Amino acid sequence: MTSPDLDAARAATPHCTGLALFQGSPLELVAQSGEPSASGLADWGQIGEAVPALLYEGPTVTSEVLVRLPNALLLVAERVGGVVAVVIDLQRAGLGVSLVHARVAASRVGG
Amino acid sequence: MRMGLFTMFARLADPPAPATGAWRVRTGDGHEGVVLMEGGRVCWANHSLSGRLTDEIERRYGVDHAAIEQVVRSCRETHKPFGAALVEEGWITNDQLTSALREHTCRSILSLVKAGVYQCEWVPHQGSGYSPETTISLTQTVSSCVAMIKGMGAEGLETSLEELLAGEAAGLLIHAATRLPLAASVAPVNWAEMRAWLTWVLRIESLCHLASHGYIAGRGADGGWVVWRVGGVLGLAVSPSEEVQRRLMLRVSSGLATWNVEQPE
Repeated sequence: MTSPDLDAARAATPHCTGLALFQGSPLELVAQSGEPSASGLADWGQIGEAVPALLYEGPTVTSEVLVRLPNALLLVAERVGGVVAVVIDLQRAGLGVSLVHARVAASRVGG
Repeated sequence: MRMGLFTMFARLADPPAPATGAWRVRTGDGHEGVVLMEGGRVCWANHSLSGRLTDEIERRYGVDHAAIEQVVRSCRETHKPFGAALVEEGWITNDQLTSALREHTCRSILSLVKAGVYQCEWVPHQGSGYSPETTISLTQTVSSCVAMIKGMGAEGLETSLEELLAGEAAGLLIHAATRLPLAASVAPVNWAEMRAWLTWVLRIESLCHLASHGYIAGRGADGGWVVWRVGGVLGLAVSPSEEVQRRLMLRVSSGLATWNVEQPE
């Protein structure tokens, strides 16, 4: 997966401010497009640090996590091609439709 | 070594099977106390320095002192449980008994801890005299003790938690500033789960900087969870069902704006 693929996926996702792909063990950021700034989280590194705790260390192992932040939605989804993080700006879009768009973007990037 | 509240509860959480009996608690002031358990649930605690349940019932519900003394005398003769007799004779309702028992138990445990707990010795017995609705889980007990220390209403906090759980999930409320549990669900949460869940919620909260009325929801083939924050209170709901997680997420996302939970000072 290369950066241009993420750029295309981001462009096709309404109000998406950032997309990132993490792979490997331990997880490493392998591709990114845009920034997670709308989420209030500092950078992709901070999100990457949170991914193992969110997906694997909770009361149940999960494959998809939705973080509802004041102005943004962060979707972290485990896909065949790795873990995809999608940030959607909620100041210009509703939560329900944004979640659908984020899932589609995650599938485009991660398979 | 003197035990703090959580060290003492960690000890109480591990009674030999079938977990029915009494913890005899020795305190540094030379007094003794007792914590009775039935099937791993807390029935009753007492410490010679804490108030009497009879006084509590008289104060709370205005039951006549002479009537209480009469019930006590009668129970001594018939070996009938005192609380059950008060309910049977119509002096108080079962809910009032449960509430008074819980408060008395928590006050007694806090009194024991304040006096300095040095030893907890298990004495098994066969008794099963407490009705299930008047007993509380160990995690509910420790949460109620914390709520009491914080000057918050334990029963109100549990009601607020159950409003979002709707009886379909286990969960906790956490005092974010002090990182202590404030309420545990009616659906059982054991001691090890409570410790692990508490640590994990605080970790992801610190990583994601959840704002008030924000939430995080995760799901997978093994079920899912929802973490939320309102003011200084964090909540967690856990279910082994993906379908229940969907409903939990809907309740949390639509209900947080009007969710009424007492806030810590």
